Amino acid sequence: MVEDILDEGDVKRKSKRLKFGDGNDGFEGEEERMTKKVRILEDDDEDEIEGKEKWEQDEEEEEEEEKREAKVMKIEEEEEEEEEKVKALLASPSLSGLVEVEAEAECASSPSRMSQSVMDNNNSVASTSNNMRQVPSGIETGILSKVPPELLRHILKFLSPEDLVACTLVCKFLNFAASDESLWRWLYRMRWGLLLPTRKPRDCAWKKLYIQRDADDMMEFVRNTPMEFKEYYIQMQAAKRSQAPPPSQVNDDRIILDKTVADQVSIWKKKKGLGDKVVIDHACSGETCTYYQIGDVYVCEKTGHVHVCDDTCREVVTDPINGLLVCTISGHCFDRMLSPSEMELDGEQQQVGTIDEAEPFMGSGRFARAYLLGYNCDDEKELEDALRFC
Amino acid sequence: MASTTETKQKKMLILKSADNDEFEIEESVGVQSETIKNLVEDGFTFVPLPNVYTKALIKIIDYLKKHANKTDSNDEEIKTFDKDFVNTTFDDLFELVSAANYLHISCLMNMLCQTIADRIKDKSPEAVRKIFHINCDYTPEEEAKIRKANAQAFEGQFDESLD
Repeated sequence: MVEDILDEGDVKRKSKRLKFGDGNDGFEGEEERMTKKVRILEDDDEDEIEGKEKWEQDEEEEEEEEKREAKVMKIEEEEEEEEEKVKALLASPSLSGLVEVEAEAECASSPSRMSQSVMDNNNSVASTSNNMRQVPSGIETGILSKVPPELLRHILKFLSPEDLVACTLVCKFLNFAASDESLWRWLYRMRWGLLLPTRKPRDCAWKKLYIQRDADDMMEFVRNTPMEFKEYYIQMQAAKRSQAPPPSQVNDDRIILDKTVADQVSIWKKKKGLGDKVVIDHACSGETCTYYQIGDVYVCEKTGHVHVCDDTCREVVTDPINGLLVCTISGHCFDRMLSPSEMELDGEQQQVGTIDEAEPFMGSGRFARAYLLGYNCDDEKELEDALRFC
Repeated sequence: MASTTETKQKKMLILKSADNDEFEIEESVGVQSETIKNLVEDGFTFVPLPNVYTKALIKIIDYLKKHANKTDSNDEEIKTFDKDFVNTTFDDLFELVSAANYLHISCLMNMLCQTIADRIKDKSPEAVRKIFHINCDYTPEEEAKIRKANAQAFEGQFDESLD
């Protein structure tokens, strides 16, 4: 199984190379233009561009490597899943403790993949029917220790991506909080809108997506800028990530539920004698507690913890069987926006090496591509050829 | 005399803090808090607030009173009030933020969170640790690893000062 995937990775890699060759040609043309424009420091220029090409190549390879890693991880996950069944039978605190330690090590080694591993961890902890919290256990010292975690998130919403990255170094818990998926998704959408650059949105965490796209944008910017303005453009671009979201946007978030539902929740809570106090040593999941449901809202019958299960649900784990995202609390399934069969189709296209996914049709669907391609065709035959590529 | 009859007509609420201190406020002032509003709508006039201590509650009542009388003319005045309101220690800020969250006063919540965030903004991780008295729980290896990953992500400049 691993071999299969590695093979596929190799083929992909080759096709990437092919693509890279094409991109290269375009680049040389640009280089010519540039030297014409600038006409000074010709040699330096060339060096720099070569350096950049190398960098680009490295990056591309790195990307490939990451994809492979992700695949291998998936397999590991599946294996883990089987182990879990055994573990569930042997459920004992010491075992689940071990799982936690392992997962924590993983988190520390790759902060951007953190949410993923936390999800896995969540999964395993839940199935060992243990109520231990999967996150680093909060800040133990100082003023921040008094702040409930969900408030911390609200505070972090006022920070820029750069500040959030700085927060990851402060301590484990702040790393966890500042790598929050919903935070980064929100930041990503604020900057680039709702659409994703490729059709495979959930290949990696939002934080990683953000950082990647930021780097891509920067490169694009620098490449298309005349030499004398480069410094300014770099600064301009960098300012985008060091800018905190405007307060008006922050208020947008539904930290307070809409009134009618909130009413119902508080009435129910009052009836059950549950306060608004945050219960820390309890992790909700479908296996540990029962819920009172009001529309999208799930209230834990043990703690009164409220979970809103809409499309921003953060309690999802990946179901290993069909690859769907499943909420651990409500059991709702979420589409990954791309079914496995579509994903395979995509892989085939890449192997043929004829379509450059990142380039002109960024973020558009198949029909949009077909339309665009068809629009530029001169005759029937060309149209037919073009349609094969979308 | 006219004023006394007026106050009598106004519905009053009693808020009880976690330290068992009681405060009487006008209903129109109190309902800026979603939590209080919900209780008022259910017919309560006595509101126990087991999560809010007297110290924070006094400040919050001040805030609510000020903002209940918001008109176009005293906009500047309220801004100055808000500025003074958040000009306090971190301990107080966090106390207030927890209380505001419990009481569901979203404008106050946002203002407080913004204030706290502003003090983290542009700081180096070391400075953030010192400001909030957080002990670093990373091993040196872990820290180096994250530092390296961050350096690759964005290369930013931090402010090392502690104010």
